[in-house]
Amino acid sequence: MKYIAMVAVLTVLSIQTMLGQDDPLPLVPEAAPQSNQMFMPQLDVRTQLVLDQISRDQFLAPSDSFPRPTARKLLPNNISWMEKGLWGEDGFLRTSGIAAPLTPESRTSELSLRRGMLVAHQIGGFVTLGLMASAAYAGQKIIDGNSGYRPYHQAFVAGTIATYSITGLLSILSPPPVIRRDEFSTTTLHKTLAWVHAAGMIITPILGSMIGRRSSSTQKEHIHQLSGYITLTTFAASMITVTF
Amino acid sequence: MTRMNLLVAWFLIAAAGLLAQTKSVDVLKEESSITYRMSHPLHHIEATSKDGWFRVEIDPAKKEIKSVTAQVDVMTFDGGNSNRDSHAMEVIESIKYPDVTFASTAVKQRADSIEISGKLTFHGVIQEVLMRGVAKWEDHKLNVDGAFELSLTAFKIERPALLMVPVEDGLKFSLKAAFAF
Repeated sequence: MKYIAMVAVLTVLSIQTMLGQDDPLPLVPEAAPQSNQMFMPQLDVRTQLVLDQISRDQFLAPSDSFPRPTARKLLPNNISWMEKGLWGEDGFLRTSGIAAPLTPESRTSELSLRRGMLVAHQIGGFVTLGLMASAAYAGQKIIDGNSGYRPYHQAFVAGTIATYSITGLLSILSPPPVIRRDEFSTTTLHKTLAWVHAAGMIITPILGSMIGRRSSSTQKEHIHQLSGYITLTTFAASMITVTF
Repeated sequence: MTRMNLLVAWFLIAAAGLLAQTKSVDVLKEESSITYRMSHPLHHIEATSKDGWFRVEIDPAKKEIKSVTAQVDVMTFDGGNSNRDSHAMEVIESIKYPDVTFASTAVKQRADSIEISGKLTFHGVIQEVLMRGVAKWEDHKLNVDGAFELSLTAFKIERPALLMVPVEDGLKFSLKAAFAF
């Protein structure tokens, strides 16, 4: 009787050993014993899974079952010189005390600020587009011979310059994003078109200021008109691109 | 004699239990991906992660999935537009909550069809989700295709907006996972 029991136990143990050899996970994690370590019970994988199940049932995240999260970089690698100068680890805003030192908490706040600034950037874009179109309409009326539109044109131009500048600064000065890859996307196109309409926003008012009130300045008027329409078109196009 | 019968029966049950033991298998990353899809009145947005970690407990003899655990670093989702992806990371507070994790609580299989329910931790909120899909068994390989949907507001996520118009509340996930055993 004793022999049968012994044989049965030995057979079970031998089967367990054989199966354990093919198992990708060892039943007992291999760890070198350390003399200065407190006693920790070693749990086999199945026991650990049962404990994980219990922890799941208790509505707790089974954190021990998952790989540890990798260390996260707080700033993307390819930030612009402006972003680095302002928001980098040793950027002006941090060294001057305006912004908090670079920590996960401060970056979370900065990303919230970034979102607010970019929402304002979008609203500013719509306002600027409206003012710019109005300035173009009033300017066209002047060219068509309705000089009474001149004060309106000048007011719309002043408004356009103000809102355009604020809208641009909201984007340029915003904290850097969490992700920036080297890629071509609609945002790349949006930014490329921004260089064109920014140039237009500098050149068009200068050309406008060069126009005299005499009929001899017709050619300058047309160049100013063309510059204005190119600026308006590229500005509208840069807004449309981000919707795709 | 009765004792001996009991002992033999115990031995057979123990041996059968050991032979039917499950295997823990990690995903083949190069053949696996998880994609989310968001809908906005202007367009649809898709982003894919090929760096998810999935582990299944399987019984290869019975061709059964016993349990599933998964973890995906939210920053690994690539939608081809880093500005848009960055916006998504802002609304889900990726610095504070870097991972999405899933632990199954029940797995139902009927032929190739599979239903996996479990607890999904996303944005620091735990919700019960149900994934429906297909599990295809080969000799030493298991391929799982599945899909599930979750509500952004249920996970306390502010819906991202484009031109002040927020995306729809439903976030649709689809996944492909391959396991070799």
